[in-house]
Amino acid sequence: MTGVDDAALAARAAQGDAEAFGELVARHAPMARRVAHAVLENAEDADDAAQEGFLSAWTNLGRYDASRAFRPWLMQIVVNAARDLRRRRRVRATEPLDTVPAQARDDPAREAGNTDLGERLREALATLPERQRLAVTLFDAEGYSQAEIARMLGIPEGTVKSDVFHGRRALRTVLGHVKEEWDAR
Amino acid sequence: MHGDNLQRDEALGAMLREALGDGRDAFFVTRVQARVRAAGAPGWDAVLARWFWQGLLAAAASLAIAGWSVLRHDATPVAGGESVAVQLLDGTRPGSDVLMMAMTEAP
Repeated sequence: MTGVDDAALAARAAQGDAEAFGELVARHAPMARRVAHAVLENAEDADDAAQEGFLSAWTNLGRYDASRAFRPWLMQIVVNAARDLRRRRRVRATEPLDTVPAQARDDPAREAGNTDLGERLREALATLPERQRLAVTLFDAEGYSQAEIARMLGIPEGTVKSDVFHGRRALRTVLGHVKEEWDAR
Repeated sequence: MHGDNLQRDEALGAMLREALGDGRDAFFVTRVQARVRAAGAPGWDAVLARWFWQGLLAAAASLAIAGWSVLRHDATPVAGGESVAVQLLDGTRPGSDVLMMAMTEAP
């Protein structure tokens, strides 16, 4: 099924073909997990949300407009599932997931203490507001256009642009600190 | 800030993908595919849900048309719609003589 495009697979899945939908899951799982991770900041929660998103897409395939790209439609469902889960977790924990101290928000690199680049980037992402995290992840990491992100998040394109700009600035600050540390060794 | 359109930062994007992924996609995919098979094909409720708004609009339109035609019918006077009493009392219709007799002979 590797040569079949998403729209054709989605059409078959809408007729109840679980194999076709399974292929869509395999194609888009890595991205769905990363995007959910960007929202939830926790890999296990991200997998729960991504799974919920896929199952929701499976049961709502009838609402998919085949004249539009499948991937943004799916990713919007995943983002919504991740945001819902984040809200539920917040209610249950009675405190925000953003537990990063205000000091770290001013200077993400200060809080990031270890040398693992991935860990440092995740910590830096955690200091950003959720919308900025999503905007920079969807734009730079996943290759969505500003217009697609705007539709997905329900915000104007100008806001997406601003969020990407500010998100990148914070992340580049962290990367700059890491580079300085590596150069000093 | 920037020009009209942002340029993608490929290096940052690659690092973000690395940071947010954990290489355990295959396990996740197997898990979700199993859940999809267990859930089965979307049922009739999903199919009906797809047509919900169209159905609602069609029902509303039908009701509006039916209501309009009923109101229009009620508002139109029936041509020659005289009451039976008037028709009998004009003296030219069959049975009017009987009616007149009954009325005049009543105590």
